[in-house]
Order: sequence, then structure tokens, then C-alpha cells
Amino acid sequence: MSAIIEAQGLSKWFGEVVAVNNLDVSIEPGVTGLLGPNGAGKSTFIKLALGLYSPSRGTMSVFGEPPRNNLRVLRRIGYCPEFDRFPENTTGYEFVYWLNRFYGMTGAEATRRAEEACERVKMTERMDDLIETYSRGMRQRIKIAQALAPSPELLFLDEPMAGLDPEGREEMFALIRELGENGRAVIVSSHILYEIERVTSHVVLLHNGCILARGRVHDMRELIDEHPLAVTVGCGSPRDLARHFAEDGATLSIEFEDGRVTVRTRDPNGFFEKLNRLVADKAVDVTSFACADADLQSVFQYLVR
Amino acid sequence: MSATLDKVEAMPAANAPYLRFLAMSAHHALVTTLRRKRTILAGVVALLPVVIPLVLTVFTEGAFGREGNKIFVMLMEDIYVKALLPLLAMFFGIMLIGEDVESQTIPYLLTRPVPRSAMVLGRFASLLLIAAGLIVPGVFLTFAACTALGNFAFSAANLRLMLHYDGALLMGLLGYGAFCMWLGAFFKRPIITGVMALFFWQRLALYVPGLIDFFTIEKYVVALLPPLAEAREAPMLRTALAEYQKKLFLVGATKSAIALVIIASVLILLTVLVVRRREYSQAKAMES
Amino acid sequence: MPIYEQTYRAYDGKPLQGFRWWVMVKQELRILFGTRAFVYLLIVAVIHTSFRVFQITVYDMVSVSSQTPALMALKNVAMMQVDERTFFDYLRIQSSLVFIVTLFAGSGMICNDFRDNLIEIYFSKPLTRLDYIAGKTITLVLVGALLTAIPDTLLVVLHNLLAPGRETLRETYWIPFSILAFSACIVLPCALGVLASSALFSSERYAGIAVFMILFGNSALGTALPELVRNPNFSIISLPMAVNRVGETLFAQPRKSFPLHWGWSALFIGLVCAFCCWALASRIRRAERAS
Repeated sequence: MSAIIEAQGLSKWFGEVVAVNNLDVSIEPGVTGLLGPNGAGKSTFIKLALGLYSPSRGTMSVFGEPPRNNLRVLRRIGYCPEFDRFPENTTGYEFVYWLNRFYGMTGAEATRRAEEACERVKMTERMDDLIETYSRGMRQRIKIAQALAPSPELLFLDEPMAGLDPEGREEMFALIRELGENGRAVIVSSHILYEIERVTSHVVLLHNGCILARGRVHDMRELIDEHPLAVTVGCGSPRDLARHFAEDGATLSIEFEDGRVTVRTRDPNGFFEKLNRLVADKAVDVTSFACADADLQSVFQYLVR
Repeated sequence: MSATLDKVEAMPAANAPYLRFLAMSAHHALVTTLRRKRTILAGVVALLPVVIPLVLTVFTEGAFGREGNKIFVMLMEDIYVKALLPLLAMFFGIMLIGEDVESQTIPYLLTRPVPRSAMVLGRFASLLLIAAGLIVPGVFLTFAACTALGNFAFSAANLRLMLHYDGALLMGLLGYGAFCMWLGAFFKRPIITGVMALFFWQRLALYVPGLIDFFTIEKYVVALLPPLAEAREAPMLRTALAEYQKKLFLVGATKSAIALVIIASVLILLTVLVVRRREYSQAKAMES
Repeated sequence: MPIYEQTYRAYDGKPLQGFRWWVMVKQELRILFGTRAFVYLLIVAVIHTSFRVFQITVYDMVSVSSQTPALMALKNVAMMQVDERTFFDYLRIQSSLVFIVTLFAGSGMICNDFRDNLIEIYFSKPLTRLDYIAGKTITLVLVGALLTAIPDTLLVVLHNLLAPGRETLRETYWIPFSILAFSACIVLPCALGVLASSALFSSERYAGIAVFMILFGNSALGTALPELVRNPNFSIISLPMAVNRVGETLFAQPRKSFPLHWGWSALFIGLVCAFCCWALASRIRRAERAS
């Protein structure tokens, strides 16, 4: 798959602050999570890709072209910013409508698309009210509506879940996943690992302006072989299960707890193969299992450390 | 959020014509500005000079009855040209680009495929329309109010004088408006710079002997005003004084008009360059 | 589990003792002095003050010690003379700078708090509406005083130090009081006007333009109207002219402005301040209620 966004030696600094430091990254279609703590350089990376900033060093290309002041590129991009700012004295509908017009749409088309976008984010009822009267979650929805309205090929969602209630978050997760499934490229940034995990397994981990890792969460986890994988298995006879793994040289420790056993292993693949075999042979009756530290939080902590 | 992605088709690949962007940008700026309550404040200020001749009509005929001509000329030259014109240009011009910069909504616009020049030109056109929409009726109402005083009839000659002032004011608006728009796009605190440039520097430069006043907009606007408007009934004197004025200002009306158009063009171009090159975003501050 | 309201609420406990507004003043001054442009503006003010220091030093040194004819001639140059007019002129010239600096410092002081929802945070602390307004106003008054009353009073002190004696003291003992009163006439309407505009407008830039528009328009009318109606007393509608009229009286200067009694000018300035205070207080009161 050819890359939509490519950065080579990309750096951006503001005075003495280095926001993005020598990034080499290429992002393919589908949903990609841009992950990192506050100040990691996520928003700066997005703004560089949008052409709002010019690189201090290195190159950035989107759809094979530099994005800054490039109308061909901007025509294919949608952006939902992280900041909570809106034009004064404007209704939600007008906000989306006028931004549609700035895409070069005719009045009728802008109206139709604005209405459809408001409907998609469930803002039809309130779209004629002033944005000043909206709740934080509604403002977030209307920001997403303006990004979705022109149906862009590449969508940047900077902290899209901020301010949404749990129901809204779930809807947002579903929407992002669906956009990815429909062939759109979506770049979602967040500093909350759980949010990214819900929408994609492809992540770019940023820290202090540098890339820590890129790829699938699971693959990353495997790369960190110095950190054992903790797997909690629920079964009828934990002691029997533990006996099978106690002989394994890769097993570091075994803990028991209420019908569950937590095994720490240095060889996750070997562990899962063996567990599969045991289940197939009906040697153990496994009721559940979970990887205790294979989530992004653990990966991120390991990498930063 | 509903999952109805197929309902919205992708945008066509070709860009819309430039003129559509220009008209849309002007339309947007016009709609948003006219909707603001503060535009009413500007309207009230622009119409304040109308009150003066109306108040004066209340005074006795003996005191002000023969003063209509003088009062109209004074209101035009001292109030409209020297005070209201730069004030209105500042009020609307600085915020043309500056409002989006200040409210940090400019990234919404800069991530749209709208040509930056169309955005700037469209907004500038809206400034001209709105400010002219306040100034021209204001001048006409002042004119009409002054005819209530003596020595100033509703005649063709006087109407020509009024139109002359209207023309000079609109040309001035071109220069001042472009200057203020550039200030708003370029400076973080354009008000202070604007006040210093338009109201301190211009005053200072006009008092300092030499050619320093060439670096003011007011010089060219004043050169466009009808020469010796109060004594315009004496053609000989008028011609002589027009020549004198030309020598005094070193520029005639035509050259001044050309100078104002050049100033406006250069400043609009500079604004476009600023909008294209400046990295407007709040993230800088946040990240540092 | 009980569910409590989670929004900001006005502090309803017993207010703390002491000058609570001082916190606001300290915070605002810290921000202002951390702004480069503000420091540059203060440096511009120093240029004028330096000239006055030079003028007073030369004049006093010549009057006290020099017998050189050339230097004695210098003493008679009107521009170099030091008397009550010197201190009056200093303040008059500084008044433009006071306006610029106040506009710079004050136009965003309240509207930015509204924009960033800081008002709610302030009023959820043991801080009253009065403390908030006082804090903002005192900040601008202090900045204004830094450009007017403080350096001008120091110039008077310098004059007394360089030309010590009972005669100098007799000639100048009353000047600091006049400086204080005239500075108040310059700084207070300026500070309150800018703050009121900042409270009424949602944008820092519009607040700045609006206050300048009103002041400049008012001055233009104050210049044109007396000529139109051939009555110089109409100049009183111009705030700068009204301030000037009070200054002339305070510094015992020959009257150059309109002949109307100075009391009317003082009343006009007082009314402007009162109106600004009312606009400011009512806007903040509404915000406090809403929060």
C-alpha cells in the first residue's frame, strides 16, 4: 500500500523548543493512531501535515506533495482541531455551511452537505442554535461535522474524544472504525491510550517529538522481549495449568488468584501455542484469558522507560 | 454518530473557479460583520456628524443661518477625512484577518482549499462595502442637514461637491483599509501600532518640514479634496489656489489617486504574503 | 451515593481579611512586565523622563554654581527653564503614552478572562466582584502612575536636591499634590474607560479600537464644535481638553483652553469615571451571577 503521508527527517522547532525532532515516518490508508503524552508533538505533526506549519528541517509530503498552501492537497483533507474555538455569534449549521463554502461548494451543495454532516453527528436538532449555547460535547460534534462534511479522503482528528460523554465516545469509535473500513485514511491523535486502542491497532508512538515506535500494538509488544508478558487465565484447575507452564524455561513467575492463574512469560508465542494445544487436548478447561499488560499503556511505559 | 457514510459522496477533484471563492469570501465577511452588534456602534459613530448641523439649526438664524457651506466643508474635512475615515478603517480593517487570528479560528480557514489571495481580496471588498455603506449615507445625511442652514442649497454644484468628498473618502478608504488589514494580519497587537501609525505618526509627519509626509496616507487623501471648497464660487481664486495646493503638496489629485491605488495594492499583496507565510496557530504557545 | 453540583460556585464562605485584590494586581503586573512590548513602551517613557532630568540638572547647576555668561544665557532659554510649567508639561506629554500603555495593558484584561472562563475560576475563590474590579483598576492605575505621578514627583525631588534651599522648597512644595491630582485626572478615566470597554467587548482588539474611537471622535468633536458654534466652551466635551483645563488650574498656569470654570471639567471627568465604573461593575455582576 502506498503511503499517504511521508515525512523524512522532519523537524519543527519554536525558538528553543523542539516540537518534532527528526521524524521519518510514512502513514498508509486506514486508521492510524497518533499517540503520546501532552507535548509529545502530535498536534505539531498534524499541523505540519495540514500545511499550517512549514518544517524547520526535513520534508513532509501528503498525497505525494508538500501540503503548505497546496490547494490540491487541502481539497482532499478534513481537519477536526483540538482547540475549542469557534467564530462568534454563529450557529452550528452556519459554521459547517460556511466552511463548506470555503471548499468551493455552491450554496445548495454546501447546505445539503452541512445538513447531512449535522445529521451524522446527531446535531440536527440543535444545529440552528448558537454555538455559544452548546455543551462541550456538542461543540466537539459540530467540529467533527465540519471535518466530515466535504467527505475528505484523509481526515485528521486531533483529540476527537475530548469532551464527549461515554455514549458519544462509543459512537465516535464506531464512526472512526467505519471511516477506516470504507477506505478513508484517518489520523487520530490522543494521549489516552484506551481511546486509540478502541479504534485501531496501528499506532505511531511519539514522545518528546521523536518516534518511539510504529506499527501494530501486538507487534510492538513482541519486540519488547525484555519485558515479560503477563497472561491471566481463568480455569477450573489452576494448579494443573500452572504445572504445565512451570516446566517451561521461558516462564518467570506464576501467581494464583480465585480460579485464575497469572503467568509471566518471556516467550508469548510459545506460551499461546502451548495453551492452544492444552485446550485442544482438553488437558485444561480454560474459561477466560487476558493479557494483563499487552495494552498500549504497558507498551508505552516500557518504551519510555 | 450515525453510520451513514455512503450518503455523502466525495468532493469532485477539480477546484472551484477563483471568482466563486472571491465572492464567497466577501459574502461571508459581509454577513458575519453585519451581524455583529459592534457594527451598530460603528454606524452610530459614522452618523454622529449629521447631528451637528441638525443641532445648529436649533440655534438662531442670525448666528448660524449663513454658515451651511462652511459647516459642511468643515465637517467633511475635519471630521470625516481626518477622524472618521481612519477610525472606521481601523475598526473594520484590523479585524478582517485579525479577528480569526485573535479568536484562533484561522486554522479552520487555512485548512480549506481556498486561494489565500481570494480570501484576502474578498474580505477587503467586504470592508469597502461596509465602510462605504456607512460613510456615503453619512455624508449625504450631513449634506442634507447642512442645507437646512443658510448659504447651502440642494443644488447640482453642491451635490457635485458632496460627490467629490465621497470619492475622496472612498479613495482614502482604499488606502487606510488596506493598511489596517495588513496591520491586523501582521502584528500581534495591531491596535497600538495602528494608533501610533495613523494618529501619531501622521500628525507628526505633517508638521515636520521636508518630504517625510510622503510616508503618510493622509497626505494623498487631503490632496484629493476639492481645493478651497469654501470659496469654490470664485473660479479664478479656485484655480490659483489649486495650483498653489499642488505646489504645496507636490502631488496633484490624479497622482494622489494613483498613489493611493498603489499603496492599497502593495498592502493587499503584503497581506496575502503574510497570510501565506505566517504560521498562525495557538499550538506554538501551548507546546512551549 | 449523593450527587453534588460540580460546576463552579461563587465562594460563600467568610472572605479572607486583608487586601485580596493585591493578588490580582501582582498577577497582572507579573504578566505585563513579562511582555517585551510593554517593557519597550516603558523604555520610550524613559526617554522623555531622561530629557527632563537633563533639563533640570543643567538648569539647577547653572543657577547654583555657574557664572559663565553662556551658561547663564542657557538658563534664560524658555525650553530649559524649570518651574511648575515643566512638571505640568511633563504630565501633558506623558498623557499620550499613558493612553497607549493603558490600551496595551488593559484592553484584554477582562475580555480575555471571559474568553478563557477565568471569571468563573476567580469567583469560585474567596474573591469578590469588588476585589476583581479593584485589582484590575489598581494595576492600570499603578502602570499609569509609573508613567506620570512617580517620575514627575521624583523630578520635583531632583530639582530640590540639585538646588537646595528654602526658596526652591517654597516654590515647589505644593507641586507634588498637583501632580498627584492631575495624574489621577489623566490615569483614572483612561484606566476605567479601557477596562469598561474590555468588559463590554468580547475581543481585545475591538475593545481597544472602541475606546480609541470614542476618545478620538470625542476629541475631534471637541475641536470642531467650538469653531462651528463660535463658543470655545464647547471644548469641554473633549475629555483631553477637560483634563487639560483642570491641569492648568492645578499648576496655576495661564488659561489657554476654554474659559468655563474648571469645576465643570472636573465634574465631567468624574461623570466619565462614574459611567465607566457603572458599566464595568454591571458587566462583572452579570458574569458573577451567571457563574
